[in-house]
Amino acid sequence: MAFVSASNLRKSYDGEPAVVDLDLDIFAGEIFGLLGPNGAGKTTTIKMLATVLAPDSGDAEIGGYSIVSAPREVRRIIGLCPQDIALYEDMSARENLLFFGRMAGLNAREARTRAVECLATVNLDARADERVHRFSGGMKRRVNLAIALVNQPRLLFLDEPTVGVDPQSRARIYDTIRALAGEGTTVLYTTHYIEEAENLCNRVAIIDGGQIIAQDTPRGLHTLLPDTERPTLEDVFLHLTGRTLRDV
Amino acid sequence: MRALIIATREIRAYFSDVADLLFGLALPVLLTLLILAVFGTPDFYPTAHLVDMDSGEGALAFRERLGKRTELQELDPAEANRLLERSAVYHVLWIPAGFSDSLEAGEDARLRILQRGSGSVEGQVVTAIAHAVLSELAIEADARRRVHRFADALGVDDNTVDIDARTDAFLARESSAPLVGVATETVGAQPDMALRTVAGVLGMFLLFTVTLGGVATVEERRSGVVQRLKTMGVGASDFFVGKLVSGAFKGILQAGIMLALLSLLDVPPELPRLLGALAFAVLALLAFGSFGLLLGGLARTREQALWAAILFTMISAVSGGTFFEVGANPTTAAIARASPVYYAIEGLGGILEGGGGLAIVGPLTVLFAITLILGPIALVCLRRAWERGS
Repeated sequence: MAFVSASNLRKSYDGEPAVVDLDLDIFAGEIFGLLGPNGAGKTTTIKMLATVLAPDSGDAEIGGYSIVSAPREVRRIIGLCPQDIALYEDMSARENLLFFGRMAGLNAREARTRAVECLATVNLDARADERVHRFSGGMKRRVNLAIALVNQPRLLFLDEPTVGVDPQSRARIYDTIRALAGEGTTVLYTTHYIEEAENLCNRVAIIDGGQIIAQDTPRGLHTLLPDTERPTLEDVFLHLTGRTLRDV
Repeated sequence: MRALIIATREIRAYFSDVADLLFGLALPVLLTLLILAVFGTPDFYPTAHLVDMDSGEGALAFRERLGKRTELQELDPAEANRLLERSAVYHVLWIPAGFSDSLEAGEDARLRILQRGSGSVEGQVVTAIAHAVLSELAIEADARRRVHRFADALGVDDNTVDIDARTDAFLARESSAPLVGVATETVGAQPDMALRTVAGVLGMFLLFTVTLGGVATVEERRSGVVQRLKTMGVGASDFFVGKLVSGAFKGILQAGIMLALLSLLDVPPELPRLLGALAFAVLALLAFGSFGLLLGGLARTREQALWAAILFTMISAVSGGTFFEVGANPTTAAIARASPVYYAIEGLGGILEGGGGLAIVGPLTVLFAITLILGPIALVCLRRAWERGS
């Protein structure tokens, strides 16, 4: 049984379709990658599933709760790590964790405990009391991730969490994600880095024009190019989405 | 509960940011001190610049009497011309040679007034005072001449009766208790420009505090914090109340410090008035805060919000009468009524000056109406932004 099951999700902005009749199943403990060119509908999909945006039509169930009729219940079991660094840079890493922990409904003691645990998870416990504006881009990304973990979500949305991050921080983020999945957390991961999706994700969906045009394991996707010797996921991606620039 | 946590976070961030503290607390205090230094003396005392080319008895009497009503600054002719040339002064009273003799003889005794343009408001006041002093001197000189003529006609011997001394005694008595004159009665509280300006500066900074709070809201929307809060179950109302409470707290702190400063400097208001002003400031903050959050909900970019906040605040502060009296001119008075700062000044100024009661009903009603109208509109705009997730 899928932990996330979306059917016919649709969303338009000013009449321009961003996501069109999207169907998706993600299983518990799975790291599911959503790959697509700019403007393909990745972020809109995540926003709808994370109850940030209401779909124009269609629905999705997360852990048995509908994002349309039971968004409050959905919010209790999800964590969102947005594409941007969504935190307060004038506060320390610990203060951010405490604040967002309280916002997620934890009491003060729970928030303190979770702040310590989450900062240790992203290896920032030694810098916990420094203001975030002093951190490098990679460290900020790790705090961004730690905040998404503060309420121990069963489903974690990671929207391009490694943009602008150095290889060391990126490796640390991968380790964290793998460990979380190993503990049973389901992860929906969007990225531009195809190699990243190939190495990290159990399954990958390629989205373009607001629709999923292929989904399988990375190895399974390779079979879409039977005539190519040792195809990479990038070859498959370019084969399916074309080489035309999307943001000109 | 979440609203309070949001408010607490904002307040802690405010205290930990040196730039915020300097702008929000130190700058209004400095401005207040500056205003008190400029308007600290209760009465307007103009400076009269004077060149005396005569130095006779009449000129001396003129200088003495003018000196009692103005701050007299004597200049030599070259210096006076230089200062006028540089616009360092706007008016100079010039006593020509022979002035005293002409005055005594009842001939044409004419004081020259040199001025740049209209001579400035101060110059016009000094000119009016000089006219009054000259009239007094002319009347007195005329009286002396008439007394001498009557004494001659009556055959009074100037050697047995000191006619001039007796005439001067009569003139002095008439001067101290004139039969014809003006009786001034003070109606209501004394308008105090210093307090009014402090109220204006306070209103301006309260408005700045909350409108810049709106800028922070736009940043939170743009950075994804709002998205994140939404997925954590935080509602637009929690956010709205949290922002309003933190804005009100910061504003009350500013108001408290400035009002406390007034009492430390022994400026009239007493404790009940200060507390009344503080209570009024809370209402003003709710009205201004609604505007700040409206800005936070409507603006699409930080820059948009910042410019809107600065322009709205500065235009409101200037047109509302923060830096000059707007009531005297019908046009500025009409424009001022469109500014929320005007009502803050009227209310705060009225309370500080001891008006209270009916004097603040008008501003109180207007600010309350602004809160009632703008508050729900701001909440609706914020809810829309919340629904969009940005």
